[in-house]
Amino acid sequence: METLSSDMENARAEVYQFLGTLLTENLSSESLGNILNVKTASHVKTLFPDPEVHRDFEKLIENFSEGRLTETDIMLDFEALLRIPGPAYICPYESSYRGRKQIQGQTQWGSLNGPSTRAVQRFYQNEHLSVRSELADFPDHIGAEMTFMACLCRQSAQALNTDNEMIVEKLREKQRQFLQKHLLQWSKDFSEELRSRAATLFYRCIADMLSQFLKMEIKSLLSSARIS
Amino acid sequence: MESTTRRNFIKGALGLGGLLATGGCMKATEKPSEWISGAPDVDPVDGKNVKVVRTVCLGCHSACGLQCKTVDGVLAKVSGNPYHPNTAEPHIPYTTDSKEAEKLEGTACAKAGATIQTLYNPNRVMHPLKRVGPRGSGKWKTVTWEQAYDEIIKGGDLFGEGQVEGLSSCRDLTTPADPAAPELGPKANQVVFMPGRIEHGKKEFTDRWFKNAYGTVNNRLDHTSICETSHHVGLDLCFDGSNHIKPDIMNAKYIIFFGTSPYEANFPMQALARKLNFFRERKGKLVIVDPRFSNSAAKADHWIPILPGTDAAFALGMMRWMIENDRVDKRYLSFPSQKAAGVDGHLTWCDASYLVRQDNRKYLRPADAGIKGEEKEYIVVTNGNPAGSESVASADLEFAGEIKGIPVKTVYTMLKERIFEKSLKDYADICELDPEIIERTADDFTSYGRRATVDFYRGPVQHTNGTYTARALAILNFLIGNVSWKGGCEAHGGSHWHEMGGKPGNPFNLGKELHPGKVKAQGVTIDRKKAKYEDSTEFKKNGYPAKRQWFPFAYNNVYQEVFPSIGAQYPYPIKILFTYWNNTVYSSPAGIHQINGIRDPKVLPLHIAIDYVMGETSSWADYILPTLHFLEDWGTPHVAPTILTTTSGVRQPVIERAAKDAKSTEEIFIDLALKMGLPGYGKEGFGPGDPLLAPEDWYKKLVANIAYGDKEGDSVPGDSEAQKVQYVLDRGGRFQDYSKSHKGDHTAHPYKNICIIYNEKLATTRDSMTGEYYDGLPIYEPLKDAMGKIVDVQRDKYPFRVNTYHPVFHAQARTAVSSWLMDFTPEECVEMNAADAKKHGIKHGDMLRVFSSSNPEGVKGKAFVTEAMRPGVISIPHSLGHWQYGSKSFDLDGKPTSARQFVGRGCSANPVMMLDPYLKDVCLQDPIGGSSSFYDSYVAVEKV
Repeated sequence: METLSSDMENARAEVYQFLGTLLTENLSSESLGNILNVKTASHVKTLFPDPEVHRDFEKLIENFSEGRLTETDIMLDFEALLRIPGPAYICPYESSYRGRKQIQGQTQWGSLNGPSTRAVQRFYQNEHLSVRSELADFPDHIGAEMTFMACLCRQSAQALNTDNEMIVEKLREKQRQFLQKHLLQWSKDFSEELRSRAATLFYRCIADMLSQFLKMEIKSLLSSARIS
Repeated sequence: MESTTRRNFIKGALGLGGLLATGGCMKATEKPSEWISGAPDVDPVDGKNVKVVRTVCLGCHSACGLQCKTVDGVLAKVSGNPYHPNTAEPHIPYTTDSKEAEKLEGTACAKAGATIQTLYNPNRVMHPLKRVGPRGSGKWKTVTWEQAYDEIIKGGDLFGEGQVEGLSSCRDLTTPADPAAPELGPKANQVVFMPGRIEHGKKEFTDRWFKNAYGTVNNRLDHTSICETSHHVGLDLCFDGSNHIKPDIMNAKYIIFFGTSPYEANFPMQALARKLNFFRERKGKLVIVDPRFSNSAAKADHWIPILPGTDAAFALGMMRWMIENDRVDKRYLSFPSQKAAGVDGHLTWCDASYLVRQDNRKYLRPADAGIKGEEKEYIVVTNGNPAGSESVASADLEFAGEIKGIPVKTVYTMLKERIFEKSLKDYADICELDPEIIERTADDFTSYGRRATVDFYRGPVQHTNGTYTARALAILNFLIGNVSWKGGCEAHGGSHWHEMGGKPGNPFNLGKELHPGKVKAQGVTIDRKKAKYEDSTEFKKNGYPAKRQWFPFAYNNVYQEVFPSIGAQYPYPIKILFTYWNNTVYSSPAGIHQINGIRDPKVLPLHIAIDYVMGETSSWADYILPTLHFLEDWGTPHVAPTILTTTSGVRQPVIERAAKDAKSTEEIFIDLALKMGLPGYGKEGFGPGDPLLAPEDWYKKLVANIAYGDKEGDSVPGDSEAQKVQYVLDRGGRFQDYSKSHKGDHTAHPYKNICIIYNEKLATTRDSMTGEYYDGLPIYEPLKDAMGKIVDVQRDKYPFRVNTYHPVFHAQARTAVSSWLMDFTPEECVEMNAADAKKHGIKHGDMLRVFSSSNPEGVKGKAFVTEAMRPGVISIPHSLGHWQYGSKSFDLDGKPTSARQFVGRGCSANPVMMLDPYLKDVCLQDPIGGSSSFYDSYVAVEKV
C-alpha cells in the first residue's frame, strides 16, 4: 500500500503544475532556457522510468542547443496546437473530447462549455478557486484541470504537515473524484492527439510525460494509500 | 510505487519545481453562494455599488415582477422578482427577508432582459418639442417646459396658423358643446385624453385629472379595442361582474385555446407557459385552434387550423354534438339559483332554465306570471308548472308554451333551436374543416368532467363578430358546469388588494374621497362608448342609421373610432387631444388612414403627445412632452386570472431618470393643474395639510392601501405606515402565498354568481346603424360592415386572409428598438404556406408586396415560406415595419437627428387591413364590443 507523505504530495503538485503550465502558456525564453538543459533532463530521467521519454527529452535538448529547434518553432507549435483553431488544433477542453464524434472519417468536436465544463467549475468553486481567464478561457482547459490537481495536492501536503488525517482523506478523495470523473476521462485521448499533431519534439515530449504521469497517478491514487 | 522509484519521483519532481516562473492558472476566490435555483454561479453583478430594486415589467402587459440590479446607478441586470407569482412556481414566501431574497431569481423573458436597451434607447425624446412646420412635416424645435405649459394652457397663435384655444378657455363646464344636443355634454368634453398603454395607478391618476378636476368625459380613451375588448365585453355579457377567464392550468386535464398562443403571448406569458409545461408533464391534453402553427401548437396534442372568424361556428358545432350525444351537464343547468346549485357544491348557477318572453325578448318576471316574488326574480317551470327561480331546487330545461297568455321558452330551448339551425357539417363547412375534427374535439372536451376548459383571447374576438364569438366559446364551459371548480374555468382569479381604497382595511379612499372641489363630468364620449343612440337628439331627429356607430356595450373605449370621429367632428368637434404612449397610427388596423382624422389643425386645433420617442402617431402632434420609461416610473399594475392568488405588483423607479428633462405623466399633470388652479392638487390637494405635489404623494397612498390590506387586521409587518409601505416596496408589491390558490374543490377566489347564456340586455338593444336588435344567444355571423351588410371581400382579387400575432420576443410597438431582439428576428416576415408559395412562384426570401382594396400600394416584406400555416392565410408578426420610432431621422432645431434603420426592418400587416366599406375612414369593427377587426382582411401578394 502506498504511504503518504507531504513530500510526495508536493512532488505530485510540482509535476501537475509543471505540465499544466506547459499546456497553458507560451513559454518565455527564460523558461525555455530553464527547461531545455541537461539538468532538467536528469530530473526527467529520475521522474519517468520509461526510457523512451527521457531519450526523446535528451534529443529535444540536443536539437534545441544545436539550433535545429528554435524558440519560434516551439511558440508556433503552441499556438497551432492549443490556441488557434487551425488544422493542427487539438481543442484542449474536456467538453470537446467528451462530446467528440467521428462522422465519415472527420472529427467533429463536442461543443465548448458543455455540462462537464460546469461540473468542473463546481469542483473549483467548492475549493474557493477559479480560473484566471487570461490564461484559460474555460474551466475545463487541460491546463486548468492539471493546475487544479496541483492545488489539491498542495492542500493535502499542508494537511499532512498538520497531521489532520480527516482532511487528508477528504482531499485525497476529492483528487480521486476529480481524476475519475474528469481528467482521466479524456486525458489519454488528449495526449494521443497532442503527440500525433505536434510539429515539434517539444510537445511530443510533453504528450509522453503527460501520459506517463497520469498512468502513475492511476496506479498510486486509485489504490488505497495510508498516511505515514 | 517502489520505494526507490518513489524517492526518484520526489527528487525529479521537486527538481522541476521552480523552473517555470509563473503562478499557474488558478486563483483564490470568495466562497460561492449556496447552490440555488439551478444557478450556482456567483453573480457577476455584485459589490458595494450594486443596488437591487424590485419593480414590474411593461415589456408586454403580463406585468411580471422584475428584480433589477444597478451598478453605480446604471441598470446592469434584469431578472425576475422571486416574490412575484408570474416568475416562479411556487414563488417565495412573502415574509422572506428582502436582502436574502436578492440571492434568488425568478424568471424573466427576453423582452424583460431587453428593457435595458429600450430604457437606454438613444432615440428617446430628451426635451419638450414644438413643431415648426406644418403638422406631420417632421420639423421640430426644442422648447422649455415652461413655454410648453404656457402655450398649452393659454393657447394663442401658436404656429402662425391662427388662434388656438388652450386648456383654460376650453374648460367650460356649463355651455353645451352642441347647444342643439345638450345630452352630449359641455364644452369641456372637447378635450380628450387618449392613452395607448396605461396601467393601474396611472390611469386612476389621469382619471382624477381629466374627469374630476378638468371635467371632461373623454378622460381616458385607451387602447383596449385594438387589443381584445370584445373578449372582455363578451364575457361581461356571460357573467355578472367578471370579464376575464383562464383555465386552472395546474389542475386541469384538458384545455383548448382558441386564437391565442400561451407559449408566446397572452397574460402572463411566463406563467402560462410554465404552468402548461407542468400540465403537459402530467399528460394533460392541449389543443390549439389557430390558423398559424405557433410555438404553442407545436407543443399541443392537436392543432386545429381554423379559418379565421369562424370560431363561433366551431363552438356551435361542438354544442350540437354535445347535445346529440348527451354530454351536457343538464343537472347543473337545471339549478336556477345559487342555493339550488350549492347542494351539488357549485358556486355558480346558470340561466338555462329561465323563461324568456318571445314577444319582447325579456325574461319573464313574477309580475308577468302572476307569481309572488322579488321584482328581479326569474320564472322557471318545474314539472310544467311556473315557479320563482329562488323557490325551487331544480327546473325543467326544455319548455315552450304560454304563461298567462305570454309566449315563452326556456333559455335552453332557445339555445337548442339556435344550435340546430345548422347541421354539424354546415358548421364544419363554415370553418373549412372536416366535421370529424369538431366531433373529436367535442368528445375530448366532455371526457374530463369539470377539469376541462375552453379558453380564448384576441384571435376569435378581433373580428366584426367578436362579441358573439366570445359568448359562444364561454358558454361551452357552462354546458359542462366547470366554472370556479378546481381544474376548470376560472372567472375571477386571485385579483389584487385595492390600491384606490374603499375597503374596510384601506386607510385612503382615493376613489370616493380625498378630492376637494371635485367636479362631475357628464355627456357622451367622442367614441360613443356606453351610450345609447336612442337617447340622443340625433336619433330623435333622424332615426336610424346614426352617422357613425354607437357602442352601448363597449365600456372599454373604441380606440380606433377616436381619430376618425375627430376628423368627422362627430358627435362634436374636439379642440385639444392629449395622447400618451399612444401609437394608434402604427398599431391599429388600417392605422395609416387614421392620420386623416387628426391631420388638419382646422379640425383638431391642438394635439399634445406625451411620449418617449418620435412615434408614428406622436410625429403628428404639435407638442411632444418627453416622458419616462417604465423602469423610471411608478404604477400598480394588475395580473390576469391565470394567477389564482392575490397579487399587487408595485412599479417603482429603478434608476434616476436616464432622460433628465423627461417628466412622468403625473408630474406633467400636477404642473398643469397647479398652473391652472384645478381642484385636488397642490399643498392641500388631498385635503387640509395633505399635499398632492409630486407622484410620490399619490403612490405612497396607493401602496399604503396595499400594505394595510382590504380587511381590518390584514396589514403587512411594520410599526408605522412608512415602515409598512417600505415593506411592500422592498418586495416589489404584495403577494399572497402560493398555497392559498385553492379551497377544497374550488379555486380560492372564485366567481360565485350566475352564468348567462341568454343576455337580455343584449337582446333588447338595437344596433345604432341597422336598428336591428342584437342577439341574446350565441350565434355565428359572417363578416359584416357597419351597416350590417355582408362584406364583399373580392376573394378573386385578394385571395389571402391576413393574420398578425406577436412572437414571444416582441410586444406592441416598443420592442423593435432593441438590437438584441431585432438580431434574432428573421428578416423574412411575410409567412405563407409552402403550397401557396409554390403556386405563386414565390421562394423563401423573395421580396413581396402585400396589398388590399384599402391600400393598393401595400407594404413590402420578404417571404417566409413554411408548412406551419393554414393555406390561404398570410401571417405577419406585429412590432416590425416602423416608419418612425427612431428608424427615420427628423429635423430638430434645424439639424437631422440620428436614426437606426434596423428599427424599421420588416413590415407590418396593419397598413393593409381593410377599411369599413360604409364608413370608409376606419377599419371594420365589432358593433357590440367595439373591437377592431384585425383578422377579417383579405390581401393579395406579388413578388417585387
